[in-house]
Amino acid sequence: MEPVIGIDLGTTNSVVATVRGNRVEIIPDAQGHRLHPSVVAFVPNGDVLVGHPARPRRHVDPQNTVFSHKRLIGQSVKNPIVKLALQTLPYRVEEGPNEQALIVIRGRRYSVPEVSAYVLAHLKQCAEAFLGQTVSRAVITVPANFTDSQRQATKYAGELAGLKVLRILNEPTAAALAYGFGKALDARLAIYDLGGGTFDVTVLAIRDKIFEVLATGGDSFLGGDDFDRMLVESLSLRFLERNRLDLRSAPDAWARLVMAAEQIKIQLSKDEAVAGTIHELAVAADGKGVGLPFEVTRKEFEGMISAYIERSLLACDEVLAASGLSATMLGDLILVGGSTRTPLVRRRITEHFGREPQTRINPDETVAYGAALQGAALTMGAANPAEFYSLLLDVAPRALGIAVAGGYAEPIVEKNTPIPVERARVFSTSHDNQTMVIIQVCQGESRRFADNAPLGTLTLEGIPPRPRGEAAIEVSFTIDSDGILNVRARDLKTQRLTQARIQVLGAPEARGAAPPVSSNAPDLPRP
Amino acid sequence: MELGEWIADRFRALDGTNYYHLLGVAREATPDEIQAAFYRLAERLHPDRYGDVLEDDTRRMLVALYSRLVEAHRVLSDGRKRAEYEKLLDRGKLRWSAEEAPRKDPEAEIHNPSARRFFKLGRAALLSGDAKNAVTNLRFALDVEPDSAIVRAELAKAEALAKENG
Repeated sequence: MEPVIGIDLGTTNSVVATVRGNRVEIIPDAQGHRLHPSVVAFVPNGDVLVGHPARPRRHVDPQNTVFSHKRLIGQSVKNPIVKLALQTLPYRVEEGPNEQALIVIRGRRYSVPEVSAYVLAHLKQCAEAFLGQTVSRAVITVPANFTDSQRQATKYAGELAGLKVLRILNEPTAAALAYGFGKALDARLAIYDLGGGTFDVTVLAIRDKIFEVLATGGDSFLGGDDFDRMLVESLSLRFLERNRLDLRSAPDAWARLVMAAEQIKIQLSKDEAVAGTIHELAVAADGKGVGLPFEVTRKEFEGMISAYIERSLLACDEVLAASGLSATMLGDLILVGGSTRTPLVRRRITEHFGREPQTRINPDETVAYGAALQGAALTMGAANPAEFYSLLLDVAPRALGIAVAGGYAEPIVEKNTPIPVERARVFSTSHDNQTMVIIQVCQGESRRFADNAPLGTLTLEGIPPRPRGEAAIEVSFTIDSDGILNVRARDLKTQRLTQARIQVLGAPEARGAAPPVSSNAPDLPRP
Repeated sequence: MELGEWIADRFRALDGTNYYHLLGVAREATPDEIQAAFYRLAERLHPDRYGDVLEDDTRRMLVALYSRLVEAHRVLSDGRKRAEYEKLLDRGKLRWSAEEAPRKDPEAEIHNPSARRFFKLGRAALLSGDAKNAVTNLRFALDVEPDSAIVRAELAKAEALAKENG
């Protein structure tokens, strides 16, 4: 049987795994690395490098080397937090159709899913080389708090890479599966997942092979990148004070500073202080390179990042409250994501939950491991229940609502509702002979529509002309197991299907309508 | 019975089934019994159990069944909702709905515990006429939970009062 791969498509690094025989294997690249940088370098001769070969290009050619693009996927460039992220990325980003971000490389525009597709195609290739077999199916993980359009864009990236995406799986749920699979547990646990760009916390109940998510939450713009950014700001300030040169206007130097900051951060997880010099950040009047000698103590660094960690703990309290459990009712506390290696993160979690977190698992690999298991469960679980069967009962991370009169939002699906879920609402017309109804859809829990994040527009078309108020169109909103919204509409008088189209802001395409939007012909990654 | 037929049968019966029947438990069932019944049925009704083999229509029916199963489980495993549902059942209603349930405290709509705490403090201050203190606490609440309409509305009242007081 053709294998299924599980992919943890991370902000900083990606991991790919598969089930072979009876065990999960992490798939290395040709050089044996198990962690693949989520970096895509466009080199001048037209080649595209991905993963380890691409990483050094961030030093040499930052403007044509794309990284951390997961922070942009499926997002509207009008989102203020996206704007903030854009300030620190050295490559150029423009607004494209449907408010999506387009990455501009040497005058060509790439949608974010196209860039992600390069990473995914690279992982697919690694898997094919490792297994000696064609691979065409995958489970891809995303942060639990990813929005509809972020999930949709990720799925689309998988398709561009030539993969049938069997499931978009939440990262913490994948981690729970990796942790609890085959252990016949009867337990409740919390997953604290702090990655490069996103933070999730999920509380689950596990009973043998059933993994029931009780509540999930987090912050889609909180991660190790923020720790790097705090360090970069402090270092660039030092540079400014020493040399009266502002590195913010020098994208290449800034990119090197960002990379240096990441290294300093990693070293500060082991050492109490790190000292050294970042070379060649600028050129002095005499033509000599100007570097920055530095010393950063762990204590200083912790002062810079503690606000972010406190923000994550606040989200933990919310999720725990929503799950109906207290910290003492939890069995294990599991840490996922490279940023949980930061000693302050571990210390604050231990204090906050009143227990030591579980550290036996590998925080980098566990998500891909779980994704591979879910791939096996979805394809082989029915035939081999003894070995591969597991059932994930996951939830919608956000509430879904529609705009109604008076600026209010009417809830359709509440936050933490188990998925898949279907909810129906009946709509009518407000004018005589109206044949089209447009409904604004939002994500969020506020009763005031404007306080929620806009999701997009639902258009009902081809309604038979009738006096106002007499049309009765039943719309069923389904959030599928990928956490993606689908709509169907039916005329209750004729029982015929009505055309319903949903356009999601920041997403690569309008569902059930036009083909993908891209400014250039989709340039598929080479196999 | 063939799988598609079994699903269609259950789907057709859905609107005449109360939550206890759907879960296959007695009205006196304990929370543990309800949880066990939910897991047992989830293993039959969760669409993941059937991979790609289902027709589109059958899959849609299955999603509707699973959605209702989840609804039944959510209501019956929450003591307050279950008590409300008991009253609705006696009136011949088979489904619980938020509109028919008695109104909750406004604080229940604020999700963040610290926002809720500040909100309570702010409301208490407002009731006692201490506009300044009310504004401070409600602003704290709004900082923590910026998209809460209730906090916003309360803050607007407090600010209006503060203005009146000069």
